Formats: sequence, C-alpha cells, structure tokens
Amino acid sequence: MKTKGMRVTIPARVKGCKSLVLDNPVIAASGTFGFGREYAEYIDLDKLGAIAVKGLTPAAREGNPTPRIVETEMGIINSIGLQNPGIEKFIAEEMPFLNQYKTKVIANISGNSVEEFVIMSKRLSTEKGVDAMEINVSCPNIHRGGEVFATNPEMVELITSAVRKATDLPIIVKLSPNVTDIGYIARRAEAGGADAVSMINTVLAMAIDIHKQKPVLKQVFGGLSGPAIKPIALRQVWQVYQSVNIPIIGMGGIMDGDDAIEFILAGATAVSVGTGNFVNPTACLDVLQGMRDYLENHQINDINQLIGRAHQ
Amino acid sequence: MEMEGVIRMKKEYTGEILYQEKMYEGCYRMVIKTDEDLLRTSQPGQFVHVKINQTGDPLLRRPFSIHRIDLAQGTISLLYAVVGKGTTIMALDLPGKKVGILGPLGTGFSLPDTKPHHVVLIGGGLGAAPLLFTAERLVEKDIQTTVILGYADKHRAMLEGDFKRLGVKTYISTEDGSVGNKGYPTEVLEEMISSEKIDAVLTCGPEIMMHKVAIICEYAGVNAWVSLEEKMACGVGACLGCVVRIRDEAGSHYEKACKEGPVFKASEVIFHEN
Ligand SMILES: Cc1cc2nc3c(=O)[nH]c(=O)nc-3n(C[C@H](O)[C@H](O)[C@H](O)COP(=O)(O)OP(=O)(O)OC[C@H]3O[C@@H](n4cnc5c(N)ncnc54)[C@H](O)[C@@H]3O)c2cc1C
Ligand SMILES: Cc1cc2nc3c(=O)[nH]c(=O)nc-3n(C[C@H](O)[C@H](O)[C@H](O)COP(=O)(O)O)c2cc1C
Ligand code: FES
Repeated sequence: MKTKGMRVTIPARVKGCKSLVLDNPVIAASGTFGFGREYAEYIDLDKLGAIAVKGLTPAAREGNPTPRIVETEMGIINSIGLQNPGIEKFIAEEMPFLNQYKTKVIANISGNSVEEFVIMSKRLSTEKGVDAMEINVSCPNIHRGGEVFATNPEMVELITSAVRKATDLPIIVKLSPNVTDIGYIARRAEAGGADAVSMINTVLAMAIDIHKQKPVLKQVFGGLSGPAIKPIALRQVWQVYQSVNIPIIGMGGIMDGDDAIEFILAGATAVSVGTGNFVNPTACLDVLQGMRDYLENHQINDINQLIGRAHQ
Repeated sequence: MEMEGVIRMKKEYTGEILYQEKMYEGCYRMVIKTDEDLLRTSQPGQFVHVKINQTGDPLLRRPFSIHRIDLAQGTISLLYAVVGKGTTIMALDLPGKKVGILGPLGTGFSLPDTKPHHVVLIGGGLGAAPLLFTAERLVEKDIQTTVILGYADKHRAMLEGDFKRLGVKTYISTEDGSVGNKGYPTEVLEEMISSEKIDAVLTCGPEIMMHKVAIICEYAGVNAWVSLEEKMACGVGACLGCVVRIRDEAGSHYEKACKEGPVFKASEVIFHEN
C-alpha cells in the first residue's frame, strides 16, 4: 500500500509554529477511541493518520451518572460527561503507550475557562509525542463552559488566540453544530489563529422512555452521533469551506470510505471516525481502504485533488 | 509493529446461525457455529458483542452472555429475551444467517481451582444464561455445584433439565409458586447458607436480586460475585458508556462493565437505589 497519494497537511500559519502532516487523512475521533489501548488489540495504530485522544481536563473528571448511552434511529446519544484521568495522569500513564507508535497524537482539551485552556496547552506542548492540540469548545455535556464557549463567537476567538500564544503546536478548533451560523464561528476561530477546524461535534438531542415516562439519559440531554447526523455535518462542512481558508477535519457518521469521500468533496482535508469504531473495531482502517479504492476506481492519484471538488 | 510483550491481535469472528430453540414465547436459544479460537478462549461470565445485521440497522452491536460452548459441535449458544429492536430481529432470524461476533469480552467469574469447594449459582430470569456455561466448567473441575433458579412463573421456568443433566443439584422457585418453591431464589439461598457450607456464590439476574444476594452473603461471610448489566456501545472499554460504581478506600469510582466487568465482587459493587 502506498501512502503517497494519501498524505495531507495542516500547514502552520504562524512562522516558527509546527505543521501537522498526516500519512493518511483518517483520524480516530476524540472520545470514541480512548487512548488507543483498546483498539490496539484490533488494529495496527500505526496505520491511522492520527489519534485524537479522549477529551482532557486539568483535573480528573468522573463523568456523568448512567445511563450515559442510548441508541436512536441510526445514531447514538451520549452523555459521558468528559470522564478522563486528568492531564497529568494522561501524560504519565497514556503518553508512554502512545509513544510506542509513530502515529500522530492529537490532544483534545476541554476547559472551564480561558486559563484552563492555556494551562493545558502549555503543559502538553512540553510533552514529547503530542503533535497537535484540539480545542473542544463544543462538548455539549458540561454546563459551565462548553456550550457557552462554542456558541459565543467572541469566546471562541479569545480562547483560540490565548492558546496560540501558549503553544507552537498546530491548533485545531473543534466546532459545535448547535449554533446558528457555523461559518461565522469558524471565521472567528480562524481570526484567533486556528490552523484548522474539526467538525462536527455531537448534536444536542434526547430520547424518552415511554414505559418509564422519563428521559432515557440520566442527564436528560446528550450528544447525537453516527449516521443520523451525517447530512447535517456535511452541510456544515460545506458552509465552513466557503467561509474560511484553513483546512477542515470532517466528521459525523462516517462509516465507510464513501462517506469519507463525501466529506472530502464537501471541503474536508481529513476525516475522523467516531461512532463507527463502536460498530466495527476496524472501522478507521476500513474507511481508509474504502477511500483508497475510490481513488483507484476513479484514477485519482492524490486525495488532495478531491478536497472541495463538489463546490466547483 | 514490534513491541515488548507481544499483543495478540483480536478480531471479529463470523458466526452462522444453526438453529434456534424457543424456550417460551419471547425467549429463544440461538445456536451459532463459529471459529474455534472464540470457543476455546471463552470463560464463564464473559460475553460476546453481536452484530445482528450487516445493514447498519440496528447500529450498535448487542451484548449477550455466553450461555454454552460446545467444542465438539463448534458452537456457541446465546439465550435471549425479545425486549427491543435487535432481539426482535434475532427472533426472526433463520438458520444460515451470518452474524458478526466480537469476543470473548470482559472479565468473567473466577472459578475456584482447589477442592473441597461448594459453589452456589443463583440466576433470576434471563440471568440464568451465563450460569449453564459456568456450571459446566465447575462440573469439569469436579467442584460441588448447586444452582438456584428463580422465575416469574411455570411458563418461564426453563433450563432445569439442562442443569440436572450436568448432575448439578437444582432448585427452582417461582414468584407465583406454579412450579418449585413459591417465592424468590434468594429465600432458598438464605436457608441454604445457614445450614450448608458454601465457599462461593455466583449470581446473575435483576439488580434487585443480586443486591439481595450480596447482602445475604456479606452477612454470612461468604464470597459472592455478581454479573452486572449496563448499556453498552463499544463493548471493548473505549466509549465509557457502561460504567458501574465500585467501592474503594477513598469512597468509590467508576469501572467499565465491559472490561473490568461484567463480573464484579459483590461486596465492592454500589448498587443503584431502586
Ligand atoms: C454483559 C451483558 C450480557 C447480557 N446478556 C444477556 C443475555 O444473555 N440474554 C439476554 O436476553 N440479554 C442479555 N443482555 C441484555 C441485552 O444486551 C439486551 O437485552 C439487548 O441488547 C437489547 O437489545 P434490543 O435491540 O432488543 O433492545 P433495545 O432496547 O432496542 O436496545 C437499544 C440499546 O440499548 C442497549 N440495551 C438495551 N437493554 C439493555 C440491557 N438490559 N443491557 C445492556 N444493554 C442494553 C442495547 O445494547 C442497545 O444498544 C446482556 C447485557 C449485557 C450488558
Ligand atoms: C461516546 C462519545 C464520546 C465523545 N467524547 C468527545 C470528547 O471527549 N471530546 C470531543 O471533542 N468530542 C467527543 N465526541 C464527539 C466525537 O469526537 C465526534 O465529533 C462525533 O461523535 C461525531 O462523529 P461520529 O458521528 O463519527 O461519531 C464524543 C462522541 C462520542 C460518541
Ligand atoms: S461499552 Fe464502551 S466502555 Fe464499555
């Protein structure tokens, strides 16, 4: 298998800062792949473009009470609540494992304040093996913070520019779909110095148990992911492609190579697979193979030629 | 890649449905022919994560306890009740259909190795599913085994013959008394625990029953293990959807039912209040 026609780059916008070069455009989505350990038993992690690790917070978080997961029509709603070991334990216990692999590591961070984002970015930048920062301003599960930041354009720009000063790593801002004008939010991220945006995070949703006559999830609301959100994600990637000049990492319901190609045609430079991993532990590599097959069948020798092509 | 402590790669196995046996209306035993690797590595109390359709609907896999392993026939059996979309489809499945199986997953019952030992198994309803495989392994190890099964009524009282065929002492209780003792299986345990020597109790069933078993065993100073159920997405420890509360010195913490569980030491579990 040749990787040449699959290599994609998120170039640094600021001199002296780092770029992110991926051997292929398939990234395991944050929160769906743990820290890689579980899926290392099923696939060779080195074949992935990158791993976006579970969302990190400054201190450990135990997450929300259960039920945290419910399946709905072609999707799942989750309210995990950012359960994670905290940034120091991540560095001490998970980075050594990830460093055994050459695959790129994207640290996904969630803060309750601008300062928390800055502290985490500084700390992670000094760690060997972290290749990019993904700023999660969009997790719908945290009442303080998350939702407010993602829907507030000023805050998105403020956090991005503060993180820009704190790190020389590539900055990816993860956008929430739960906003009125996603193109505008993306522009503010770009203005703040983001090297790329990733999108979409989960769509705010709920399910009700008609037997108990109560919401299914203990937290009432959660985030919808999976095939059910793919059309929404595609539409928003399309809009953001027309709004900014930085690369887009597209995700939302990607289950196979054809789904991924749709995102690339809509304007994504790379793609992430989330819920797909739960269905098939080999989903990321299946998507990659499907993309290769598509290129071969259409006699295209570089994936970069396809980015945003549906706009032409 | 090369790594210290070589990781044995896991994979999805294909299974072919051989036949289904109707236990009662809405409850079936599905016998699936599958890979020897899966059969040989399975331990009692572990589960498999089954992809019912290749069409993507239902989206997620469904977790089922390993009910039986038959190495000679090359089959794994699942015992399931129809409760929703996935199990409704399964009940309509015909022989020859292919399913995708991840497993064996999770941490099962730790079976004692040394004799003399008396192990008591307590199942409530569908919770009896993993106990047949467990009993089989205990009998193979020549460990004295007793099983107590609780059901709603005679109509649903199943598996008595399967356990008896293994030579296991079997007690049945039904809530309405239509067969066996009238009442709950925990009542049988309470009586037994005060009169017989019991070294370990393994239980699977409704949480309220397992909680009761935990209390009885704690009081009697007998080690007990429970098999917990939580909603699962990935089944492999990545999504953190399936957590359960486990006691520790500092209070408690979450562990994953799909990885550290589904079997936990009863005294360490913090049960839901209901
Ligand atoms: C470790 C484990 C072992 C199990 N073993 C058995 C068994 O041997 N026999 C049996 O009949 N059932 C067993 N169950 C429960 C079984 O997984 C559910 O009844 C089944 O998933 C319901 O699927 P459905 O599509 O029919 O229902 P739906 O309600 O439509 O399912 C929707 C979603 O909820 C999840 N879900 C629903 N009910 C449960 C539940 N009780 N536990 C966990 N997830 C659930 C499903 O996985 C699915 O993701 C087990 C569950 C676990 C966690
Ligand atoms: C169980 C679960 C946990 C998630 N946790 C995070 C997280 O910690 N941080 C984050 O930025 N996104 C998180 N996400 C969102 C995913 O990364 C992704 O944006 C979303 O699920 C859409 O992609 P998909 O449809 O392929 O799953 C999570 C999603 C799921 C399903
Ligand atoms: S089901 Fe995903 S962590 Fe247990």
